[in-house]
Amino acid sequence: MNVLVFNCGSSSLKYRLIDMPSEVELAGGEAQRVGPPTAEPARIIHRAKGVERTLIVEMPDHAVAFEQVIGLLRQDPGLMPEAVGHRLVHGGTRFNDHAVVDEAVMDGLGAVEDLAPLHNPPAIKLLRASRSSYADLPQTVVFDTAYHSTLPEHAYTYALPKPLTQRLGIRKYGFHGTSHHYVAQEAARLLGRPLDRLNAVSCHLGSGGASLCAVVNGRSVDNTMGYSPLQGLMMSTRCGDLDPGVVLRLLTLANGDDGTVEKLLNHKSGVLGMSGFSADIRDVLAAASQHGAPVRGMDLTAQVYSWRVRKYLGAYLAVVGKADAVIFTDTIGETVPEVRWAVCTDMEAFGLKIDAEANGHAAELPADVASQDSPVRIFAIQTNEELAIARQTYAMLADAA
Amino acid sequence: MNVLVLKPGQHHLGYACMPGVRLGPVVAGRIEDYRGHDTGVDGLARVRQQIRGSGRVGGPAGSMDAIAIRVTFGGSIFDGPRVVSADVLGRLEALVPHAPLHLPPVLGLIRRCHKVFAGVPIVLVFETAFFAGLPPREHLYGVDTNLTQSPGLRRYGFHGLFHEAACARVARDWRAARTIQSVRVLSVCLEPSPEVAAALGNRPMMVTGGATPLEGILGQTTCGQIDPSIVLALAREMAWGPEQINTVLTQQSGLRGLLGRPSTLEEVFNSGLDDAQRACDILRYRILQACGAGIATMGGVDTIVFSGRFVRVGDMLGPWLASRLVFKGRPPRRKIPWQCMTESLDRIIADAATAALLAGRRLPNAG
Repeated sequence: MNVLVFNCGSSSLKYRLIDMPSEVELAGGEAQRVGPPTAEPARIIHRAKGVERTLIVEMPDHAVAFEQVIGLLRQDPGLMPEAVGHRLVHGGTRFNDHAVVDEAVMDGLGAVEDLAPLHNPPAIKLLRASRSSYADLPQTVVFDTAYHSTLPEHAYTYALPKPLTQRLGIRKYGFHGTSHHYVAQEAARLLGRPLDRLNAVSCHLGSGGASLCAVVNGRSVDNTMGYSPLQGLMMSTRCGDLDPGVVLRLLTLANGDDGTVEKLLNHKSGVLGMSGFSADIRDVLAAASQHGAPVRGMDLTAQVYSWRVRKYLGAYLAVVGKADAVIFTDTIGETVPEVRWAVCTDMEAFGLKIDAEANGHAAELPADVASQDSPVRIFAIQTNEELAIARQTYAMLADAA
Repeated sequence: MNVLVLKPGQHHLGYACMPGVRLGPVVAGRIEDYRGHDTGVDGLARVRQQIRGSGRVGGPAGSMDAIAIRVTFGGSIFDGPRVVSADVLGRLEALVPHAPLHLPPVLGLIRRCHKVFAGVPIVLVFETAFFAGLPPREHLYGVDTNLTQSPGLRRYGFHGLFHEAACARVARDWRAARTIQSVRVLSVCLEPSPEVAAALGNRPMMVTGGATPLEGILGQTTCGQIDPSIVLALAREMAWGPEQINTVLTQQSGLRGLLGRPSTLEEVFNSGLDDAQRACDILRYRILQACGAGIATMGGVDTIVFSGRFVRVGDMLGPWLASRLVFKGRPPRRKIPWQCMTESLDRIIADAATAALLAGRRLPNAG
């Protein structure tokens, strides 16, 4: 079955056509700078049959981007989708699992649209366009939050007045679920055991967002993000955990304007806010090493970044108990050995022994960078959200059939 | 040395006359409105009156050899107790902008002490002193201090005196037993707003408390760590201003928020009621995570020590934590040992002040 997957960013649209269950990619690409005009023109980078090309094309919104993409696929009869899978960031408590789309699901999506005001609306707009253009194809929604629907009450409850949390739907939702679920599956495969017998801590460290996930018997039992993607680790432009009293101080300084504070904490903090020059931890590490500073002397920003990952790793290893593996994934987790080292060194108390040689030369993924005698394995696994969505879609439709 | 311990808040003043040898106070009490805003009467004079009236402490000044004032904020410049001098007062005054609610009453109290208890030396004992030495990677926040107009913003923690005393006690016991030089301690302070810290010997590595009393483990009425977006959601959805939100997060959250009624740490750990047990699960879970984080910051752990008003909850929490903090590859020997340090805050403050006076400490000139 050819599954076409759409992954909407706030100003981008990634897509892949994957043959399931062989998992061979037939075509794929990314529409960039979707939305209002920017300094550079909007474009689509498209790959099919080993050939990559770039097309400059105006795309004022995701519906137009969608039309352009399906137009490209239609140019080749071998690239006919038979099912479509859509990524949606926030399904709230309404959707505690992924779903095959029908009218009831569309209604439900309308109700959760505002939960993630930057991400949900474009994805839902795209889904409507897809239902129109591919009216005869089964379509699915795969939520970033769904994997975390198994969080126990003591993990998802905030210590706030109950009437308030009930009224405003305040609880921990967690994010990056599709990625954490995917790499947990891969780790289980590498260990040669079924997913429901895997205990692990998954570290999704991306160039944008980052979160850790505690996995017990293959299920998510906690995630460092919370009610929103702002909580938890320090990220590229997000502050992560911050004293609520300090947030109140900022709100007072902004004369009660929560929008200003939201922008500050989401877009001008984190690695960018602390370093003052880049949102990318790799740039910060490069700057530190240019001065000949070894890992110990890493720039303070890099220290804070790694220290917070390390503390949450310790916290989640305590939650999980006897972990089988620690998993590093996404851009930073997969390609920056200094961060894995800073986080995993001197963690033998948890049964974790990282191997300097293996860690430094982990070019081909998946890689196991733990030493031979480490009771807990340390994997660097490439995440693949589109493949994960294709797998979920295929599984859902196979079930339904 | 007989020490009069004073714990000033913004409206009330707690006091305790601590004798040199016995553990407990000879006389203790609490004065409301000690600054005299409503009554116009000087609170310190009332303290002296109550001490004399008790008939248990002799002499005109109540035979106090020293006065110890607990100061909740000493910034990062006061890393230990200080005998009051012009120099110390100057530095404390310079800190007022950082703690505009806490420090002016302290300065006023010092002036009153000079009048009411003339000639008695005064020692300032700071809650923030122990954690003044936290490494920057632990005390910094992930924000731009220029954009947020917050130069010097950092984590301080709130129960430094308990943590320091607990860690010092453990370090003494271990040295006496001739084992490890730098013992790795998880210190769990069981106060109405509990706090977990990690220390290598007497070097603090981590603490759950933050720049304000709101951050960290949830408390009897405080929310503890929450998604920063929630504060903004409350402003947006409820149209609440910062003061109103602060009241909700400081006084109506925590155990009170979860249960819909006031409760204490002791109650939730001992209660058989469903909702209390669920609250207990949440509290234990957060303490467990903090312990895991603390172990990561020290590269291991040798012992857990409990302190604070609800120190006896440690009798239940100790075994529970020891059974959960078991990891792969750890030799199947005994679990992490734990102990309770039962000293009261008044005793800790009195002892710290006595030590400072005897050592004749002054603020180093280098500053």
